[in-house]
Amino acid sequence: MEELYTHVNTINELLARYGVKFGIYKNNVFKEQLFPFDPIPRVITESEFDYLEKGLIQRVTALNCFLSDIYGDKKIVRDGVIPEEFIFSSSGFLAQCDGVKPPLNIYSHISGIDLVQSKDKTWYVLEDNLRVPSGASYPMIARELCRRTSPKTFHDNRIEDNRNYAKMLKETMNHVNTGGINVILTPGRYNAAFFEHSYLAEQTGSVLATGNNLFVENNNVYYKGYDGKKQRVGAVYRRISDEYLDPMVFEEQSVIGVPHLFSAYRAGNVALINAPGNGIADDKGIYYFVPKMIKYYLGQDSILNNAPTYLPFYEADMKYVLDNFDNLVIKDVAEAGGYGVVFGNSLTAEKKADFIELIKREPRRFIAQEVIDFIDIDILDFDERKPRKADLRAFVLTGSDVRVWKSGLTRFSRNPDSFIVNSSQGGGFKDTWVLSR
Amino acid sequence: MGIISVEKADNLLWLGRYTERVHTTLKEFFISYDRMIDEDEDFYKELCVRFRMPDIYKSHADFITNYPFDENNPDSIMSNLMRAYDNAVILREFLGTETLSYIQLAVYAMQKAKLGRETLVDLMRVTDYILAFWGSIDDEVDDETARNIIKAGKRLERLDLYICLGIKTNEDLIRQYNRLVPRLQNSGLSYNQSVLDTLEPMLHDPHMNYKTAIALLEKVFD
Amino acid sequence: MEQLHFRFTTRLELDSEVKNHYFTLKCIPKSNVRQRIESCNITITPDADIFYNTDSFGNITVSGSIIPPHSSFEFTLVGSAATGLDVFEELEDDEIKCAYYKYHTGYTRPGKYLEEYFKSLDLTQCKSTYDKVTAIMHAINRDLVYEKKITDISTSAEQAMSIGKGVCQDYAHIMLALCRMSGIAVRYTVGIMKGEGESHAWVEALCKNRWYGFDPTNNLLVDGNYIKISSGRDYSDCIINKGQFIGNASQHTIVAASVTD
Repeated sequence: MEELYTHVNTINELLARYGVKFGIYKNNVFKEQLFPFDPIPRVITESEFDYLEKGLIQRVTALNCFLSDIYGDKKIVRDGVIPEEFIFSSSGFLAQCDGVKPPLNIYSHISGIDLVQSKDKTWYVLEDNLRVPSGASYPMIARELCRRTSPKTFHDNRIEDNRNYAKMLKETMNHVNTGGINVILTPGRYNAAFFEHSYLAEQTGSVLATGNNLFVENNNVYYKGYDGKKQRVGAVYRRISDEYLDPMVFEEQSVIGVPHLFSAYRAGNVALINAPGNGIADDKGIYYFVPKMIKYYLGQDSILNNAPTYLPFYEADMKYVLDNFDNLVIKDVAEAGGYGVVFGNSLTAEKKADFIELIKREPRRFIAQEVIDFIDIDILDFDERKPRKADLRAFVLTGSDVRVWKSGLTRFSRNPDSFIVNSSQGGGFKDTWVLSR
Repeated sequence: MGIISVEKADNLLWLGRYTERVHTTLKEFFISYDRMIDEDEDFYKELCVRFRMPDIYKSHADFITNYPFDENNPDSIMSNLMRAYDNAVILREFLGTETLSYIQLAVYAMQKAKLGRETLVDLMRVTDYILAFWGSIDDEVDDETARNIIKAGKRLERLDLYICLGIKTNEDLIRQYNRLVPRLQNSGLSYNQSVLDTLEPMLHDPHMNYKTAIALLEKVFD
Repeated sequence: MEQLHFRFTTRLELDSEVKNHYFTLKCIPKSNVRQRIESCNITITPDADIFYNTDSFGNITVSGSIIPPHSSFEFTLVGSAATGLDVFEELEDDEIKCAYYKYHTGYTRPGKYLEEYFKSLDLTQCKSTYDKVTAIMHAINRDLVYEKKITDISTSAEQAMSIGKGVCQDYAHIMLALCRMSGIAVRYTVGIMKGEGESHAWVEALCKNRWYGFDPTNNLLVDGNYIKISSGRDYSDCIINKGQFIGNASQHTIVAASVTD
């Protein structure tokens, strides 16, 4: 394995050659940045993966049941398992999707489940991403390049090949395709994840399109050719968020969407991957209820752990939160991307009092969690090994069955004190090896 | 790949044009640079006229440092290469990651040449990658229409530049013209046949009016 | 029961040509226990390819596109209806299925003006939901001043409350906000009224599994003089003509509704 580490510069050079970048805006100027690769992999043993796989399949199965229920009968609310305000006052619930059945009743085709491992080796789910989770392309292409620089490593270790992601994704699209071509819908080249959009299009043989390449006629979606010909579209793996998808139903000013796309979807004439409205299932407030969902829909105990979470909405939890405030991290459910996260012990006495007032006034708005001391993984810093925080995004694909990709995106933070592993914050990524014996 | 959208067709065409522009201007730059060493220091002034670009340079030294590399000058070789990159990067699914990488490598080579001591030798790498890119298109891109559109762009740009330069013989021009026409025919693009019909006899004329010919050529897609 | 004839026209005039025009119209009234639509014909000019669908709020949508350049867009609805067949609409699903009507949207989310106004209302005497909604309607009608051109289609209930003025859309949004603050499921409703005028907006409130109509602008309970076209959580779910086109044109919209015996 060490042999691979000596090739780190070559691998990063090759990643640059193949344009493995993400876009960011700095002072309103678009820049492309390389995504630094660290050669020390996260290694998951076969038995550990078996455990994760079972847990992830269970979790995503339940989340799909939940979405189908919430936009359908709403039994889980009627049966009192989830209080209705957690559903209907969430910005993730899109009433425009109410009663719409997606093809084959699949809502979350591609789920990105973020996990961390604590110092005692217990895995915890940190969050579910069921809207447009990104990142699978990076370990995919990194593996390709690692195998070129260091064939011996992959000869000597029995590592599951992760380059099958494209095949899995294509099968996922084909499974729900209503008759026509597969399209990856991108906001365009200035999107942060454009590399991924174009790479996945190439690897899955899909057509990469922007909104103005597609049009809806008589409730069917078509791709428009330069010679005036048109081709029916059966599945759209859309990499644009719900609010911009169709100006006729969502944000009227959106120019990156496709007018009447939602109508075609509602009529069952096209599959949207993932389904619009999934935001309700990966809402921070709903996270608390995922183990209850698993029990409710599947009659099983949750295999994977949630980070211990408290809802001030419930009286007992409110008391716990107030008593243990300094040991908890408080999250505003309406915020995303690392915003609205407050560590209890970081506040001054005055700020703390204000914050507690706010929680008492709007208990539904917050969740509180125990701070998990998660395990460090080494990174290579000029030939020296240094421990850094890292998380794991597992990709779970739902088609004819629910499958977990035998790899994942491991992101680490550059800064030794930081828990934030977002690529936009200067972090990098690692390959994730699943051992086959 | 099946259907090519209007935008993608446009990108393919301009990818062909910009890569050709980088290739031919580099070639001319090499020749001119050599001439400026000890023969005619001010030769760059004439080159500016031929390339139809404003002479914004203070001296031949200024020209040599800035013409290839100045990203803020839209006429620089670097700018043309970046335009090629802009078109290529949105065509990954047509070109393939391998083929696309040659444009990326050309960009890196250009950036390296800017810093380097052996400018001309470093710039040769850019040419190498452009040629590798074209070769890779022939080898890797299965979609014949996509290939034809890129090549129509390339041939069109070459004819345009050759007319501009004013140093090519009528035989040279006719040869380039003859390479362009079949590409246009097979590209599926709608083009103006009457432009070609007017242009072709002009190219045989030793006293051809260059400006008229170029203006005509620019109207081929009107 | 009333026997009504209606005609409803919306004309969009553009000062320069536009193309690739996509639209979704929510303009077709539906039959229910309150009203029976006996005939209804729509004409669209310029000619457009259209298709029908139903949205998640039960409204009929007419979607279509006009690709060639054009500088006006018009649709006209002509039909007849028997109205006032009942005073309410029966709830089709159970309460949970439409519980989202209890929760605020961007248009109805209260700020300090609505909070203060809500506190000033004394609803303790009201025995039923129906009484509460009626009291809220009376209060709004008493305390707001009807004035055009002060607010626009993007004005929220809170903004309208802060100036105390507005048109039917603002009256309806304020009423939605106050009812939701009382935990009542309410929906924004668009339709046309007997007489000559434009389209109108009012509120439907869920009282004991029945949707009753309240018109805060006129301080009236909705009866046979009203033809309902659509309903939703707020204005944005009931936009009569939602459209997008390519072109740089300023638009001018003329709406004319006529409802007669």
